[in-house]
Amino acid sequence: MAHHDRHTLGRPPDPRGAALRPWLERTLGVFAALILFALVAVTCIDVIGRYFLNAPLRGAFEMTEVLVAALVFAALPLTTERREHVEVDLLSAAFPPRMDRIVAAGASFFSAALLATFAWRLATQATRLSQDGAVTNALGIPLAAIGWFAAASCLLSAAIAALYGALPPGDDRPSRAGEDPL
Amino acid sequence: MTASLLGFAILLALILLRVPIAFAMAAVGGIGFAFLRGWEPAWALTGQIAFDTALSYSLSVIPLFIFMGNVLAASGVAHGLFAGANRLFGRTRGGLALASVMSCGAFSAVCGSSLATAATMSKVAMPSMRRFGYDDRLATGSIAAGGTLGILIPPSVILIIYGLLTETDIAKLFVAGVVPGLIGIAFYLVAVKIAVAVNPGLAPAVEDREPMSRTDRIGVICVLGLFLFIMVGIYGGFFTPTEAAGMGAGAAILIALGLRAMSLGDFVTATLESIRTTAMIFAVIIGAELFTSFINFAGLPDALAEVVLDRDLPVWVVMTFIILVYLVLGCVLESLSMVLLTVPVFYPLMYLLPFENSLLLNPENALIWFAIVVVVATEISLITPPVGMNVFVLKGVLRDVSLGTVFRGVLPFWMADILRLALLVMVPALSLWLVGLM
Repeated sequence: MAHHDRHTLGRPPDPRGAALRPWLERTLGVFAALILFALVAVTCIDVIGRYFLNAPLRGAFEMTEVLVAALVFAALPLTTERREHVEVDLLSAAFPPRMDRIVAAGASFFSAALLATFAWRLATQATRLSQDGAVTNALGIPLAAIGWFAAASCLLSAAIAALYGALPPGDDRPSRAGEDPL
Repeated sequence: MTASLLGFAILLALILLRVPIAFAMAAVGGIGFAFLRGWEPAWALTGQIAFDTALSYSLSVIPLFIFMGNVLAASGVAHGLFAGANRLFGRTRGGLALASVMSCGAFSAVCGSSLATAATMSKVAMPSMRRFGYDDRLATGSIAAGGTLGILIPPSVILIIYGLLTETDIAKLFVAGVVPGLIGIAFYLVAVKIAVAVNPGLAPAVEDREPMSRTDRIGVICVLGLFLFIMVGIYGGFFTPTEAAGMGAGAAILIALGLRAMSLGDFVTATLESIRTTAMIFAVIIGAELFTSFINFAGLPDALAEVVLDRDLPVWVVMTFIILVYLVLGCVLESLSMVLLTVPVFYPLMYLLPFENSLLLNPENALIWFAIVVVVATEISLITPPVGMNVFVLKGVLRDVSLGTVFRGVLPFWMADILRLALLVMVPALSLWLVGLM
């Protein structure tokens, strides 16, 4: 909810994402939204089926697991693009503007490096899963596919974070000291 | 112990240098683990944790409860709650501030997040209080404080995370939050009355009633109905807390469609927002899990337990210390990272402390009681200067109000919170009474 306010009222949208955002929202955004709806549907169908039709959804547990993983990784580039990862800029006001820009760029590159590391580790994980031929119990969904998707998502997010580190910032001083999801 | 403290110091430095908290925790945790155990195991752990955390059935509640809250926020029920609460209190001085607190409490019963509660309620309560000439301090203070109830009154994302971290029954944690949440509302209401008694200039002597339409009335019934549906579903054994999230989200969509106040654009925004918040929360959870693996391996929880047992520290000293840690950490971290970082360190103590209260001798009870104490301490940090997050949310929504104004306005509520925390620490029965009835 807060993020809604943040972008309409809190701080101006970061112009660096201007070209990227519509594209991301039309692809990964739509995909993630469909996953979220599917997640709601799976639970509702399972529970209603169990009580009223005496027929719970087969593999609902696994479907939920796989959908959550797909949702998280489909959403990661969107969150990164909006710079909605929780960060603290308490010292921002204390730094001179130039220094603050350097710190912000440094933080972006740090994020990019970390996300790239995760992409690499998830790709390794996916390779192993595909060699083992690991699939989920009831539905036989190949786990390697999720691993590859996760790795690709982290890599795309790393690229976005690196782009933000390289481009001059759209707004130096976000209006808040931090964001709290809860 | 030294390694963990060094880890915390580096983590703090990175966070202050504006590295997103999730990434800072993951980096320090992973590299710290590598120094203690070697790079091979650390690399293996990194991939494993990221993969397993995302592929999690129990964490599915997070996107679903967030989606439910966001859809309801977009559905327009918030105004009905505010107007309804206004009618409850009649024409008394400060009535709209009382209504803000009450409606925040009501909205948090269908929303798992404190920030979403504050953001949603500020949009309906603030214009109305301004129109009737309320002082900005009282107006913003009551919403910022009322919003903190969002993480205590079930459903609560923070309590879910606590339950997963400590393997405590989430249904029991939810029910434990009810009485402390109601006490929170009551104390806030008293705080409003005291504030306007001390300084009558805060609220107008006469005010009109907030208008309430038919849609508003239906909205109130829907919110109460949804809360009952979730509670009866969980405690009647019809579905698990995890399934309750999915059912609740489904019901929220039906309510929003039925009320017809939500445009397609609002729905798209609410959906995309839920999606992005999900990724943000999971990133924090993955980072915190890596950091916690490092801290556990470095032996911080054991070292802490040893200090407490060797020195024979009395319970109240330990609890005071823990609460102070939360209040101090609240200056830098937001609630989720705070809980994820500290609970794994502190919760083993609940098995060891020499409690005198017979209720707490049962470790499960002690864990439930500790959850409530942690959540209330976290709530307080949400409105404490200099970083109280709810205050910043309000500041984002109402750009013409200064931070100082909100913080001054929040002061009476902050004092009420400290009192409530002391009460909850000293009387565990307040948190455990309903759990005992289950």
